[in-house]
Amino acid sequence: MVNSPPTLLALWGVATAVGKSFQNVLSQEHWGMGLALMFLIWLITLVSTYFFVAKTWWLPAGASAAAAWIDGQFAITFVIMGVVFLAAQLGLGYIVWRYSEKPNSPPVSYSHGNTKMEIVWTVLTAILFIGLNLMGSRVWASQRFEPAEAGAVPVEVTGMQFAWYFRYPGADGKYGTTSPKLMDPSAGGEAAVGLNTSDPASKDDVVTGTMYLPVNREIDLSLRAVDVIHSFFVPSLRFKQDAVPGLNIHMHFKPTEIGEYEIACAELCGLGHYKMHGMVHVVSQEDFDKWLAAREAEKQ
Amino acid sequence: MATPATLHSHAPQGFIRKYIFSLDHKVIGIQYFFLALTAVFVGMFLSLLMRIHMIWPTAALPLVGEIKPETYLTLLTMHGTIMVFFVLTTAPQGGFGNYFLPIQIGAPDMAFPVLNMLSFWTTFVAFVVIIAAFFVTGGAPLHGWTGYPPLSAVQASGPGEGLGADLWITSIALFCLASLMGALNFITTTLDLRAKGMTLMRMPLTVWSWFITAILGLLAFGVLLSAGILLLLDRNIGTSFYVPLVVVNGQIMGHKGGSPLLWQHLFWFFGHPEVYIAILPGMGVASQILSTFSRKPIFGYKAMVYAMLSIGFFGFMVWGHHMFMSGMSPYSAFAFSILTMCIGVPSAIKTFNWLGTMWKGHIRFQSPMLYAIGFVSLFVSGGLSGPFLAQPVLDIQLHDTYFVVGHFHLIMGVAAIFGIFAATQYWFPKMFGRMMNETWARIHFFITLAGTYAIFMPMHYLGMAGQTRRYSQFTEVAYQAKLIPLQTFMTYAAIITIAAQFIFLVNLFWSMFKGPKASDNPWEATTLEWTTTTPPPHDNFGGRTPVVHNGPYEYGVPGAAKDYVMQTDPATIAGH
Repeated sequence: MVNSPPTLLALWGVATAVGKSFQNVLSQEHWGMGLALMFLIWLITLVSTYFFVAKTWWLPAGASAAAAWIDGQFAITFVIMGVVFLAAQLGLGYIVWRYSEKPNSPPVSYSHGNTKMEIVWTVLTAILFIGLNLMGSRVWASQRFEPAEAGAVPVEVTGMQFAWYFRYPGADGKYGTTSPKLMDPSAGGEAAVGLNTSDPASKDDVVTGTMYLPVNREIDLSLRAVDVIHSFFVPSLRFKQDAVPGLNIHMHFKPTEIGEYEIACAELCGLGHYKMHGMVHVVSQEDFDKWLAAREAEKQ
Repeated sequence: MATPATLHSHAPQGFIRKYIFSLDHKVIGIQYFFLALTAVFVGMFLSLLMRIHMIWPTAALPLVGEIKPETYLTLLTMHGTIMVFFVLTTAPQGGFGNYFLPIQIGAPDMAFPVLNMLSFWTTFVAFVVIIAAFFVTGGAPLHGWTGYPPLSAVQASGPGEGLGADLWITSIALFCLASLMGALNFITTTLDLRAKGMTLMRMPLTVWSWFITAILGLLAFGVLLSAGILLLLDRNIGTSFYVPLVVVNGQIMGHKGGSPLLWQHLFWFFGHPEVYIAILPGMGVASQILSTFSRKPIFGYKAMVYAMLSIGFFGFMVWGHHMFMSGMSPYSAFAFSILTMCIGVPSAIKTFNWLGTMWKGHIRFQSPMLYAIGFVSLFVSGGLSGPFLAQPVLDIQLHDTYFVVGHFHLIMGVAAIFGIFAATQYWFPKMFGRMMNETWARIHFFITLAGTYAIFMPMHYLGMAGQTRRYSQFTEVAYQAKLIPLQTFMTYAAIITIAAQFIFLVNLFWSMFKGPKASDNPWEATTLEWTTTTPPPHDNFGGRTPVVHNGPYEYGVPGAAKDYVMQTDPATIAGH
């Protein structure tokens, strides 16, 4: 059917017509150009917005106490910026089509602007942006300005090219000392973080390559790096913090859902950056205690 | 050649003095333009290799063979550095600024022509040095364009961190020197060489943008230069400005007591103003073109000037928003965040005024106008992701993800590039005496606008889903592997968009030799460059000294003979 000459001719005719109309749009006709531009800007805007609104790709489901706050702030920002985005882009598209030069256009309105409108616009934007910021600051303050709750579970995270190690201080609640001289990354485990085994406090320290955390307990995290800067990023827990050589950074958070969550290094740390991956297992308190006891037993 | 006596009495005669070591700001501007053109195609080629490697990691490519993960990191480092310094800083300021700032204020040349020549040739040497980094043992560095120590400071921390990294820093240091010389020249020229009647508030917004950019450059590049020298010392003579005691591969390095965060503060004290150095000239060009092609005065000229000034001012107080996750005090994050939001206000004013300029105008869709409208659209899209990243609490999720990559590519990358496209189309007739081909310019515009959105808009989706940046492969992390189809789409979009850039390139060179001859004022514009011949004579105005009577954007003036009144037209305009 497609091979028959009349169909081909018809197709040729349609293609030529499409080509010609495109040619017209591209020609000096300003209104045609305005129309084409409006169409493109609107199309880009609506397609972009669709994927945001449909949440085809979105934040992973949150599994920590901060997730609801962060996602709430994200949602408010998203709605406000979305409305501005739609208004500005659709408006831009409309204006370029509506005010394209035509032979019968009325004269342009000769104006150097409107101070009153400028002031209204400036004040509105300032209130909007700064207000948004202040709302988010409450969350930031509660997370970062206060220390971890009493009774939080201490865990030390050490980043090195290209692995994460996790240390639990054991029953004494004290981390043993570490020493750069003792660090041996190729040996893994305790040797990798340079644990000083002659320190009594280190006797019950547990060092692992996978992180286990009890659910609904505050975690008191110490972040360290031995070689270059790494960043401890767990998207599902809404947690990210750089681990910086020379600093011991304290952070706290509370996982609220049992599950397995991926850690991805978020700071460029060298050729293996892309595979500096780890796992967080959030388990019940009971399972956590069992797991820790088993690690202690292995160590003896 | 009988050039009338002015500041520079004679036009140079020999080929070398005329075209190579020229003191003429117009020739130097064109030299900068071609340097940036070369650099942008190099940078674009690197990004093409990156996009291909991400999707087909084992593919053997012509010229480069199979790309290893570490090669990928050198590609992104060099892509970022070349694009930021040798394209986004070089083309708008060194290229168009050099050529048109003196003409637009009615001056015969820059204030210091020899310094101007020196700026260009230093930039040129800097470019040669950075390209050389590809060819030394170990190759180019892999520490990213931000070069965070200890990765950038400890030679053992990765391949490319030897001589390649030293060349990288040397190139940046040379570039800083060149930019400092350029900035001094721009500032002095703007302040001292304006024609009679060219008051500050009659300067075209392009001149304002180059002037403010020069001030930013003067304050920012000195800091980067110093920071870079300290990094060189850390790397080569064992100082510890940025490096504490570190253990790399089980070996204790010789450093002690340095602070990795110090580099981040110094780098971003330069780095954030640099964003505005890249985009401000684009804002100036967009304002100029939107007014000209809407046949209407710019909406809120003074507001535009104050907005640019306050963007420049606030631009120096927000560097910490790059460091919310760095371990910096969480209290300072609070201040940096509020100040960052403040920058959103003048940016919003500018957008509002651009729309106001077109409102009830007579829009002519010649190619410069298309790119200027594209600039506004991209500026809005890139700008609106800013208030997400400015909030520390959202930065927890978004920092160092593709959301950031999408944000800065749209606004300081593609929007600034659209400013350069617009400027090229707008001033090409004046620079080369011929018109560019409109049809091909339009085709290039439509493909590039749709293509860049197709590449960079999905990055926001990826970032929200937690896709970290600077990953050479996505297969190691399960949740990221699920995002590969979207990455594949972006790679195809990138291939098409990059292919379309050759339309621009061919159009540029074809038109230079074969385009129709341009008249002195083909766009019916009002600023001083359109009062002189095409191309302008050696002293810009052929012995005349222009006298300025009007503001720069007098279009659609009621009662005027034509729909535009030149800046030099002595006829008084009612209400002024």
